[in-house]
Amino acid sequence: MPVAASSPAGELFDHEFLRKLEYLKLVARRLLPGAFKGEHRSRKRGSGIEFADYRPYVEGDPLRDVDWAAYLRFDKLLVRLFEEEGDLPIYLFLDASRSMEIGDPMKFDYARKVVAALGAVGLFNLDRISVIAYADGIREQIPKLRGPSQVFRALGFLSKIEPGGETDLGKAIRSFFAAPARRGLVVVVSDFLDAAGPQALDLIGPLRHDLLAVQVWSPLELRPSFASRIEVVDAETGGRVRIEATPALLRRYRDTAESHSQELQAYCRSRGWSYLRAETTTPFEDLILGAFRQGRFLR
Amino acid sequence: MTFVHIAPWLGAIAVLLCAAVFLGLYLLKPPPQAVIVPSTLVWQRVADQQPRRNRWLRWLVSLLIATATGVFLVLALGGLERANAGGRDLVLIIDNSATMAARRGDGRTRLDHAKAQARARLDSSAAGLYLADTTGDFGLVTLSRTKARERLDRIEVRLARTARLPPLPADLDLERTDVLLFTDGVAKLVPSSAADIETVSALVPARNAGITAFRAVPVPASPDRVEAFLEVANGSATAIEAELRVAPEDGAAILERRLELAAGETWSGLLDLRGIALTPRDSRTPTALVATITADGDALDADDRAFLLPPPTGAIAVGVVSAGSGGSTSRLASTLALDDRLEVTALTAQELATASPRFDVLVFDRWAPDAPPRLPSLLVAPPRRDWLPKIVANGGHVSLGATRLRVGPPAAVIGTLGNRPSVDQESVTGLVLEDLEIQRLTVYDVPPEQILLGDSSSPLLIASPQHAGASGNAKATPPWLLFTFDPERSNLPLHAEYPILLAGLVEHFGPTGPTPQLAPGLHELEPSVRLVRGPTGAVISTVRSPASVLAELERPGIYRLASDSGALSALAVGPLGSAVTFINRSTLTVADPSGATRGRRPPLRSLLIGAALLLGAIEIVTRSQGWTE
Repeated sequence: MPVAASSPAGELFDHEFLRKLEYLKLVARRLLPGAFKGEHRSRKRGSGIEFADYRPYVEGDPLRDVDWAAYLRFDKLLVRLFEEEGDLPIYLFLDASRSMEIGDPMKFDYARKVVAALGAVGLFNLDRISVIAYADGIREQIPKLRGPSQVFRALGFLSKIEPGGETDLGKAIRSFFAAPARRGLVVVVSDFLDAAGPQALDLIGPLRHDLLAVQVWSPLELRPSFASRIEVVDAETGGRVRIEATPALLRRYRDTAESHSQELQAYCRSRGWSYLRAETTTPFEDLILGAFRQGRFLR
Repeated sequence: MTFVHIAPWLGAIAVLLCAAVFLGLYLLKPPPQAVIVPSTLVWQRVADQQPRRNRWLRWLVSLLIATATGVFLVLALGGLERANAGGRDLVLIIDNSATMAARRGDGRTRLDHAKAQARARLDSSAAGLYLADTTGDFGLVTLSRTKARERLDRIEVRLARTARLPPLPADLDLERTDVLLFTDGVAKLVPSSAADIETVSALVPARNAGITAFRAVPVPASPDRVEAFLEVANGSATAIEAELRVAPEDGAAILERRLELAAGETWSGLLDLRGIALTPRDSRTPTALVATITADGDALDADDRAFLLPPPTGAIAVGVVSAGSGGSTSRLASTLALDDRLEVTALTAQELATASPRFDVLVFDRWAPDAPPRLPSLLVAPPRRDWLPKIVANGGHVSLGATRLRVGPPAAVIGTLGNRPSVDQESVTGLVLEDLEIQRLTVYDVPPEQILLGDSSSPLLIASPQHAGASGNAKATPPWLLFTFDPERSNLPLHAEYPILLAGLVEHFGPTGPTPQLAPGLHELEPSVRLVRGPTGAVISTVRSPASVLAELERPGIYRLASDSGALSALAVGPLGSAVTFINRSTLTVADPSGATRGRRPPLRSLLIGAALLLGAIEIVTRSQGWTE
């Protein structure tokens, strides 16, 4: 699939990288039912090719499913059950708040690339993806894309999003899942600098979605190097905090930022969810082809 | 305590202004730099972790450290002095003796540096400020700073004066007084009191070669011949090559010599002046000999030239006048004729009245004219005349100083001559007083100031009321000297010294005598002196009294004198001597070339800067460690 440099995909990543994505597959830790045939295992028994189990024959079962060898051995009519390979609903939540505007490279650009790559992987694997750009609610969304033909549409959608507004992940999740949605994999790519903290994800649990939280950090956030008395200004709220940027205070800041990440990680782990930390200094391809695969979020 | 050398009330105003400026700057201080971050979430958590209870205290400590650092620096840079803490007085004494004229490496003299150092300390007193030099131009009096600055600027090197520490005012509380002496330590200054004097060194060793002696000395074997004694010294700690030149003023050199002088070495030599065309006897303007020493890097100019006035050439014309007969005249004349310097002519009183030969000096032998003679005269046992002192008695026996003189019969008087300084009168130089016996003595009623030898009860030698002085005398009032005893009846002519005595007395009359060389300093000149010009031609100020004229002949050189009668004469002054030429002969340590004052106590400025640096370091460490805000 050639990708022109001026195309939406060309703005996000090059053709070679896009080709590499075709061979990847998003992994949901839980087996989730798909409505359409896809390339993901599901709990649903169906017409797949992977043997799953036997069950006693009941009237009406197709005779071609009867395991005649088992009948000869056990003198019982047993029907072979196969795992049905279904599609995976993937909900890609992209933090498009103003806090993502910071950094060099900009955190939002980095997060957008992550979402684009994951979306492309999902579409190449016939998954049904929804891309939701949120800030203090859903700003823009493109729902239920399926199939490789939708890749450019998804990338085009992503390339047009501009960050702005405050962060309220909980509100965005509540808004999106207010409408019925199949259980699937929720991917949230954000800096998670949300006043509500990890609790903003609380709604995911009752809906029994799987979750992959990708936290994007700029190195300046993790290791600031101010050298004087400064006033930090919140990019979203305009709130100000005066600090004396002493080495000791900067050390404390780094420790606090680290613990902030660990809290989110612990929260996800406690719910069986996945967490991945990404720094914008990490080359994007290394993140997708390296970290995501090592974490078995992709295979 | 003073600050930036200003008065306390000005200091208070300055402090208030500074406080206002600080307050204004605080109110106008720029806000901290704003840095936009994605979220203040983490920053707020960090800020919340700070123990709030101590934050204010830490901020206060940090503020105090910063303030103290700033205050210390300002005070140090402003020149805070503690000298007057508790109302201490300050006494500044500037050594302005001759060696303080030595130039240092930067071309400025030691005195310039001493004054600069003193100026820096001058304003550090609020209770009392005293300033003086060591040569007496400025005594110790309390001054305002303005006056003290003016007076300090006027202090100059006095080449000729003896340096001594001025006495401290009696009402000065020495316990509450800082006494600073700015000196090179060459002049021996004796502490004038029990005050603890802090010496500030202006000494920087320098090269100097100078003439320490240049004077005319008679050749002992031939009194009519004169030699010039010349002495050159290297007052440095290193060897010096110097060029010596001796020449008459505006004349060709009679001596040119290259001297290689080791450190501290002195060279001396005699220069025979015979045959050198100098001042003829009838000249009205004496010609001086000038000795000059030239050396590279010489720090002191004042000792590089010396001047000498050689005696006039030619014999002294002496007329010996008697009543007309008697062997004593021929004896006196023949005695005088023994001296080659004298050209003696014997004549009678009638011959003197009818002829007027040109004489320099007249000698009256037991005869005197009715009116004072119009030439310098020596009267030997004259008869009574109205213009002469009144004769009181004859005979006696006297003692001259410690020497008792026998007076033969018919002695009638007399008392003792006492211990008058006239024992040193040059006319008796060479006499063996113990052998002197005066057979006959005439006692005169004469004012003490006219007695050159003896005392009022038994004068031996009497001078005219306006007798010839060192500089000669006006011809309108010729001097005369009077022998009170009759040589005919005395054994004095039998003494070998008698011709010397006579010749000395004749030479005493000035125009024919050697011109003495004076040491630089304050001198008493003849009252007839009307004008004194210095070596540069400038008129020297004098103090006139009925008996004399006082003039400070400070710089070595030739001084020209003019008297009321229009007569001209000259004086040679100098040289300064070895005490000045050895400009490094000091017990002081070498001064800081920067001119910084070294005191007994560590300078307050250094302490303040040190404290500021320490506090600055504390501030940096505590802030970097987060101990303070």
